[in-house]
Amino acid sequence: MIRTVSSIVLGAALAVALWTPRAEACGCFAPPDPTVPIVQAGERILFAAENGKVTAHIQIQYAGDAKDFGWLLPLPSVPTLKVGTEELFTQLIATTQPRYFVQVQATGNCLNGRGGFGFGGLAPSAAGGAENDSSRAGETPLVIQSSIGPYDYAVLKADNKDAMLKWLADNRYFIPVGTEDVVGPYINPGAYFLALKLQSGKAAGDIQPVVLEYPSQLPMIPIILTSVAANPNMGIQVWMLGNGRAIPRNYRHVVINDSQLDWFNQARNYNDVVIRAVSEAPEKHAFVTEYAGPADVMRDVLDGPGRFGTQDALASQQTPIDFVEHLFNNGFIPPPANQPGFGGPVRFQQVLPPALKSIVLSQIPYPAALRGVADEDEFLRRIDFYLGSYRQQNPQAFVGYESRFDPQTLAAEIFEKVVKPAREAGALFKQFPTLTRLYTTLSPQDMTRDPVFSYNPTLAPVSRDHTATYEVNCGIAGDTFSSPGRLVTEQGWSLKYPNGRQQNPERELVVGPSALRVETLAEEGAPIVDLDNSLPIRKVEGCGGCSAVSPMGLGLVALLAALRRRRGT
Amino acid sequence: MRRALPASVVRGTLVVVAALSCLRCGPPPPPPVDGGTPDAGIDGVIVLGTTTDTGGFTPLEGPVDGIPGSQGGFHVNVLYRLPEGAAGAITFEHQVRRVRDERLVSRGSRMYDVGLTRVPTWETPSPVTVFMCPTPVGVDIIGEALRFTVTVKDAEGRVFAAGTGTATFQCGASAGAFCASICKG
Repeated sequence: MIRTVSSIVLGAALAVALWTPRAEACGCFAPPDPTVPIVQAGERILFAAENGKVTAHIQIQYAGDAKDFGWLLPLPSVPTLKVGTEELFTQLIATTQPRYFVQVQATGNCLNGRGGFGFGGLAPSAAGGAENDSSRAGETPLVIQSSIGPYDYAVLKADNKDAMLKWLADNRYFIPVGTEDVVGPYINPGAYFLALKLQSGKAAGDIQPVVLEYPSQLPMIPIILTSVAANPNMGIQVWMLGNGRAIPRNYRHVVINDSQLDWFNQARNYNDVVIRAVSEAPEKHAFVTEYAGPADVMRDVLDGPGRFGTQDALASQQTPIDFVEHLFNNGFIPPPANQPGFGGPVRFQQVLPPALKSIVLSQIPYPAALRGVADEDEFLRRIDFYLGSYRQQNPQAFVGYESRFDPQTLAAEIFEKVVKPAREAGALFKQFPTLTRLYTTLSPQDMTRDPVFSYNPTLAPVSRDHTATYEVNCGIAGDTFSSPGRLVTEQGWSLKYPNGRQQNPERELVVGPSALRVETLAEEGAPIVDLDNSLPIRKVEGCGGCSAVSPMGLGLVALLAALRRRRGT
Repeated sequence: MRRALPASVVRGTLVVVAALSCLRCGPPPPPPVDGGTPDAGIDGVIVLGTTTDTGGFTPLEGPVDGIPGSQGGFHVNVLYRLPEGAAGAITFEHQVRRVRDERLVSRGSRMYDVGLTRVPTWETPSPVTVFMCPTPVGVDIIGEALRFTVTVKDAEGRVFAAGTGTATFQCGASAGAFCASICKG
């Protein structure tokens, strides 16, 4: 008797949090001390390209000192610059994260019965309005100097390297050692550089994503420039919105060998497998497609109906307590990742997002007397208590406490800086039908070619969900943990567990190629296989009882069986 | 149970079909780029050009230099000159293929609004930057003849003009080794 136990455990390991890069950006981080060599650990970018225009949402993560923050990006024109929302990336990561599940097929009499077990989870994530314009003409490369959100920024002409670098240095947009050597390809007539730094008084926690719009046929990441300030095996995560599946135009494409994944532990070694697989491609230049399918998976996630309410409703809250309560009750707390809708976690876990918190605290300040009693998040979460009965009971603690609360201006600022970016980001997922998630890792010495992305609508979609089957024979009185079993991966590799999966990992996961295939994806036609490792993987020996069955082999068996059945009829 | 047609009938039918199709023989219009609607009729010919040193219009033919872009790539400036009759929102869809093997080098589109009044001729107000390098994996375009194909659609998506131009891509004296490295696929 075969009993199928399809217990899929979701979210068993939110490994997304396991890998938190110190800093991420599309361009190049520039610390003020040029001898500081490494500050950038990853990049996360959402691109949408249509009709000669590219929209880029770029997440900037930075954990250093605020005064040390600087960022450079080459651009083909003076961009439209806006502040984005961190929630876009939180939700994108969760919604498209690869997930690996194990489905259990048990035979015999298992003592742990139907409960069996299941394993599943997310593969570890990797990559871990202008004001005060003062445009100036003349010999300086400066085109625009302004501020937006937490940033001061400058757009510079990039037709003269020396002039541009001098201006950046003179104006405290510092550049790391080595930039001068790699910036050459981006210095051209008609070219521009965007430079960002944090405004005086802003903290690293105030950093928000930036949104750029600029004319360009195809999206590109200036990775050569990034090489001067990048970590080894830096993760690069790219989401592409468009009318079809996106491809890396000038990088190869890799399909990882799923027999090397630690299936029973939520594929926690996923990033290591990707690193090895990418390194097997020529020049170590390759991307993995982690998801390619409907953009609908993000529909209404950021801009669901009714979320945020109206600005007038928020502005009508007459007291700080009512105002903050309104925020908590109207979707300003991001919903849990991968759970569309709003309402968020239970109240005692809710916190306002950093950007929103910063705005709110500018008018409803955190009482200094609460230090050691409640942090800022707790103060806002229970503002009715702290500005209510707690204040009445501790009037001395609030001596000198002043609130500059003006609901009209505060509501306007929140809608401009929080609501509008979320709605604009959300609208992209209604504008484009297809979302693709691509991922790679690169070390600085391999950042020799800027990846360019394009589309091939004829390519097949890629699911983020992957399932292996674990066949276990419990015998008379065994259990599904210690009884011998066999794991058949999604690609068809058969991995024996003679002593049960309890002793996992009992096999060496890094034996043999980590790339099942290295392919070229063109803007038309089917993938061209440059390297097929099916045979080498099958021939691998000494991998703890690994006997591989190639997917093609399984397909042939199925075909033969079908032909036999047909002949029999 | 079906019975096969006699071979003579099949041969005769093929001859008739071939003869009928020849009634439309003549210089074929350029093939529409993906998504074209051939039955809409392509009665306009768009002239493809590129920019001269002084920024003027010159037909797209012969050698053409890759122009360094601000993001570290190379493109070719292309100008479109439309025949009489353009009006409203029009979309240019272009493809660039390597002549010797038809490998796709570049594909894209650009929309313009030429106004509601039909104009005698219309030319792109500024060059369309057709992305060339970095080239797709395995596609070397240096010294290669490239065929630029453009179709023009009206606001309803009907193809009303098309054109081609063939030029040989070269890196240009100032582009140097960097161009050579990223335009070789």
